[in-house]
Amino acid sequence: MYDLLFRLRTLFRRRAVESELDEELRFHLAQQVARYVESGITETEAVRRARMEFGGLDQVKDECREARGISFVETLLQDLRYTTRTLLHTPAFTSCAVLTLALGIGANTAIFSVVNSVLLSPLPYPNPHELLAARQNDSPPNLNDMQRLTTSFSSSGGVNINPMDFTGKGEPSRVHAAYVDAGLLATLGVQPMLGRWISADEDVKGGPRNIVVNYPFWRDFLGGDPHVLGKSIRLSGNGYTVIGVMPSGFALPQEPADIFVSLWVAYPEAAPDRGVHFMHTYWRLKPGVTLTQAQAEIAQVDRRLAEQFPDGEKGRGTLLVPLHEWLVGNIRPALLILFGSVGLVLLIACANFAMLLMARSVARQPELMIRASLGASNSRLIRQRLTESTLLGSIRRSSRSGGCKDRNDSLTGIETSGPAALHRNSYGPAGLPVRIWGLAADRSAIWTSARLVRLPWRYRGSLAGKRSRHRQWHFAQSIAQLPGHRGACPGTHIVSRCRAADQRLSAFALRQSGLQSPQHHDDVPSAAWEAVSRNPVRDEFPSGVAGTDQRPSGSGSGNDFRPSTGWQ
Amino acid sequence: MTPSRSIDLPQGTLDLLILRTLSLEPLHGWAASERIQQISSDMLRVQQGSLYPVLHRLERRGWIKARWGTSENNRRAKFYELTKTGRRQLEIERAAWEKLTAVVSQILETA
Repeated sequence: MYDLLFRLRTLFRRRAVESELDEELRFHLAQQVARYVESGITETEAVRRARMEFGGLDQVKDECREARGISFVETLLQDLRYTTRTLLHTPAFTSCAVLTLALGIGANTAIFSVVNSVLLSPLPYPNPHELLAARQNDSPPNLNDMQRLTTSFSSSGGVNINPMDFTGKGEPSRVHAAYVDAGLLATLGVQPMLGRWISADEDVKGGPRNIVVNYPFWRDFLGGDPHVLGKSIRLSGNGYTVIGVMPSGFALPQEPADIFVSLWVAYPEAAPDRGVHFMHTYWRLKPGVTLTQAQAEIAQVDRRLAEQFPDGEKGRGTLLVPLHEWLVGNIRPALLILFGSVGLVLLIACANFAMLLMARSVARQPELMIRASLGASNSRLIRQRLTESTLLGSIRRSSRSGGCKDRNDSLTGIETSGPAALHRNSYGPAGLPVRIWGLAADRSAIWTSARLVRLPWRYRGSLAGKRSRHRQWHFAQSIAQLPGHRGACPGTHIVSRCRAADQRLSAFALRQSGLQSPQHHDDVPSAAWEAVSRNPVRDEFPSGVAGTDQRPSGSGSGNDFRPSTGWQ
Repeated sequence: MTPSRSIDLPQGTLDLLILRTLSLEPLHGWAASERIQQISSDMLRVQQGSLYPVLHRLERRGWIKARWGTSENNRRAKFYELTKTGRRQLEIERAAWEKLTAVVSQILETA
């Protein structure tokens, strides 16, 4: 601690410290001269002797500075100034190096953000490992029976999304209404921010027209009114009383929803129909119950239902999967491949960066040799090169994080710009988890990439320094060749060979990954979407909610049922 | 001073000598070097310039502290004095030195 303060004082009061040092040493010499003069030596001779006994004045000063811990910072500043000058002198090199790294890191940051938010971070519900989703949709009566006849689950709930027309103060808007049952929220384990959820007593035929609204809807359409509870809003011609507001950031696992109403209240005609499977169901396991046990129990119930209702329920085979797997299972390999590819791109970028530095150091050999022969120490040369590489890397990093911040804003802009209905009409292929909307270029991702990149250039920097020493003996020849004999410099052809190999590798990797220009965040979701859309597995569940707006009503196949917008 | 008579100082001992010299009274650099020279009867060859880096290093470690004062001939001079930690350090180094010399001479006599 004391040492730090001492060094800081030395650093910030440099001029004072310098003049003090000077005065101190001059005092010493004057004393010594006076002593010699006293003993009868002439003044000139006295000065000469005093100096000789003292040793080199500048050398002593240097050693004192070092002892005070001043010289490290000073050398660093000197190197930084020098590096800035040389980099500004070669704008082509500088921009190439910065761009190379920026592309590599940008691509990695983008993909890592997606991987992180989609694959790595847990679902935003408590105890997410207990959550299951059914691969098949079901009807409300079946869901009721299954709840009644099983013991593996602490709760379960179903949901189906339909458009509703909200007529408030301004223009009428189409919003996504989630037709739910009372158990859904308990299953997800989230509490409303204001008010309460629809209770089981209200979730019956002829129940009160109550509604719970999602946060964006509350904020944008209801003005974020904290006293909104108990007020009535009009939806598709009916008045509904607001009884709850969901917290910010809440979303159903997959379905875009602005408001939540009881299915029995909003659509009593469809609710009792056992043969129409249109609800997507979520299940929460009791603690300690395994998926296999739950699945076995469900299979039993399926058999009973099939016996009881042979007309419509014959081919039942409800399959439960962990929610996380259900959401990301299909994208996982695609995303990981993408991540691997951009990792390769980063490696290539690093290799290119190293090549650039190497080529530059070959071109600058005469300069280094002159410095070495003028007495620059080995460590000094290496330090200078390290400073140079680090500065280059920092330019890249700061430019990169600047870009990320903007993009971050625009992404969160999407997330928060309004209710689902406003921006989710042009949904990607059905099945892409809502989670992807939560992605943002988080800082951790940027830093991960940045740290990865630092390694090679550190190494490069020190290598360049070392080489400059090893080549000292070439100095005589090189100085003779100074005007324009670069081709003859040793190492040039090694560099060009490395470059050729590197280019081949880049071309190969790019061809393999089929990547065009992955440096934009915006490209990433679309790339992920592409990957998803190529994967047809999700099409087994055509009654998914996201397609509601895109398909004409009644286009569902089999027992898939989707109410048209006109049914109200 | 005659080079043939004087000996070089072993590495690191200058710290100890300076601490010891300053433990009697605050001194400026020149006086400290004079004192060392005198007490050793010119037997030690200490380059005067090499004193200052050591002084600055000891100051940075907090073993001595510097303040500006007036010298005997009324000039501004930088005086160094021992701090509390410096005093403790002097004892430690002194003990270490005595142990070392004792061991070395023991070996020289018996081996």
